[in-house]
Amino acid sequence: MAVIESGVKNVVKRIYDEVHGYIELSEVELEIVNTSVFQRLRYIRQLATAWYVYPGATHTRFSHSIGAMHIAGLVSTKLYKYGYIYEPEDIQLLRLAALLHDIGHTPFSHAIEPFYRYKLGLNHEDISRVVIEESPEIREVLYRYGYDYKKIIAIHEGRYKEPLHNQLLSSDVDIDRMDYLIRDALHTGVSYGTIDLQRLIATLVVDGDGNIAILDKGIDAVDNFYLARMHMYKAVYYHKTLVGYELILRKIYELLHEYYADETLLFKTIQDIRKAVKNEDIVYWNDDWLIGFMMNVYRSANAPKELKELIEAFFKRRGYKVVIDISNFSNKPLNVEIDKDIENIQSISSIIRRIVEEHQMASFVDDIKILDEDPHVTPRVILAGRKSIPITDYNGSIVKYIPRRYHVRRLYVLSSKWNRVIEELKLRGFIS
Amino acid sequence: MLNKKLALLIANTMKSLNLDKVDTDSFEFRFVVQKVSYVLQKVGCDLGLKFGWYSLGPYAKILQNYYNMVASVLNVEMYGGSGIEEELEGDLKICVEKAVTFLNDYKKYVGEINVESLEILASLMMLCTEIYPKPSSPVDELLKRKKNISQDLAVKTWKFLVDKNICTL
Repeated sequence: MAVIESGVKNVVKRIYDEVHGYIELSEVELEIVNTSVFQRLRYIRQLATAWYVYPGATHTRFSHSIGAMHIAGLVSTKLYKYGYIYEPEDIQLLRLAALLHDIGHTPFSHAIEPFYRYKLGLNHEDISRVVIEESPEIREVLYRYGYDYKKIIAIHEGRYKEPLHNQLLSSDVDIDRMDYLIRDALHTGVSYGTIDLQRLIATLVVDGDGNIAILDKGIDAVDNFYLARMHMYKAVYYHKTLVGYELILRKIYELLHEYYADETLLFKTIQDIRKAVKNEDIVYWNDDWLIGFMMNVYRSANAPKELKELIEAFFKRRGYKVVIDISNFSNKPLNVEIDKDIENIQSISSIIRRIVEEHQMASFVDDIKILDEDPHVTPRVILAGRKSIPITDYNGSIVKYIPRRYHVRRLYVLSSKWNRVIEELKLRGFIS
Repeated sequence: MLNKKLALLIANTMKSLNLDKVDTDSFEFRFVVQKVSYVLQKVGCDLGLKFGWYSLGPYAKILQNYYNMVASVLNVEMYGGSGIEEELEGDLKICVEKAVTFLNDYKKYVGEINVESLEILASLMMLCTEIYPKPSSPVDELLKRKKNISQDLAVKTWKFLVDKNICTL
């Protein structure tokens, strides 16, 4: 069966995308895009508060989802032509799975998501499942075009019967990352974050055991992919100021939950989310709702003092400012129990706590994996068209030598308290 | 950030089955940690791990953060450190016992536990309980994807799982 490059059999619409140019949509895709739950993604910024550091980073989950669908089409069409994907219908299935992969993202994406992870044990993938299961619109469209919504959920959760499909949506070199790295690099202007997508797809294959692999002639494209990722983690995703604004927004969200329990969009349980999807209230659960809610709270006479202070700091860009930043690359996981730097930060933190109030300071510790070093997900390299080995073992690739992890340990205080805190830490000899 | 108890559970189970002699820096070690954890979660207790279906069978991404911790627990043990059994109590101890009993039964049934038999066991368990759409014959599904595994071992493992009421015909 002849399949065109994008994988779309009957094109009913073309959307102009700033990364990929014209993206073709099939009927079912267009109907999904037109549902109100999908339109919600227009109001969720891809990089949360990154526009506080990179003014151009205002792109949304909407454009990323459509971009991921486009890449899913390019990759699966290629793999179908080479016989790694057996059914032509799977191209459409994979495109739909990519289109819907972020449908459950919280307002301000990863800034707010950790709140739900700690509070309810839910991440955006869990919420995506609820949205697909409960949205009458999504279910109806998929059913009318003969698609089983359970297959899409299974691909998102990595439980689909074809391991290759699961790998394409979630592995070290996956469709999601291929889109967001280019898109985020473009919008932030961080030029060393770009990747050679065409070359990457052209040299992408599957080895004899069903693992995603790269032909050795495509190694430079993969090297570049990993290096771009490493730069983006450092320069964008874990940028000190950007993380500071994510932390303040999360703190505001926590306090809103505490003081405004009646607000229906401040979900307390997974049942609340389920209900909001069914009655379509979820459509308004986005960045703009949160900003509007914060504005109303700020202007109300009886709002709690600490909440007002944080909201004002957020709007006036006088949020958390870093006091201590001990970040470094490493090949070992960060062991918080014995890490000396974390111990020092904790000591400094207890000193600062005597000067500032609890809501005026925040700490941030993370152990970021730059590279998945695991036989299950590490891409393999096909040597001379025959044997495949993990890329991490291949001497011809820089991947073997790049650091595996990036450790971040930081302490922040509100900008209004920063000078006072720095002065105190200098006096005590913690900083020079 | 990391749950030390989880690392102890995994290390304890591996040690009880003599699976702790694998080079802790190798891919093989990571593979064993994944498959043992899968069995622990299926027959021992809910560890809250989310496993996906990959070309090498069940895989939970979060376990990547535990490889070093499991290795250090096992290495301490190997060089005469404090026993790891005492640190597990109550439900956690029962959890390990259930998984070890199950894996020992499997060992008796198929002869030995190694990388191949663990892969077949964990993969068939996942194929018959979690994969969507559920394959009509999990054994055929596995053999179709893994050309190098022993058909006899796969069939024998399937019978074992049916006997244990984990998979149904």
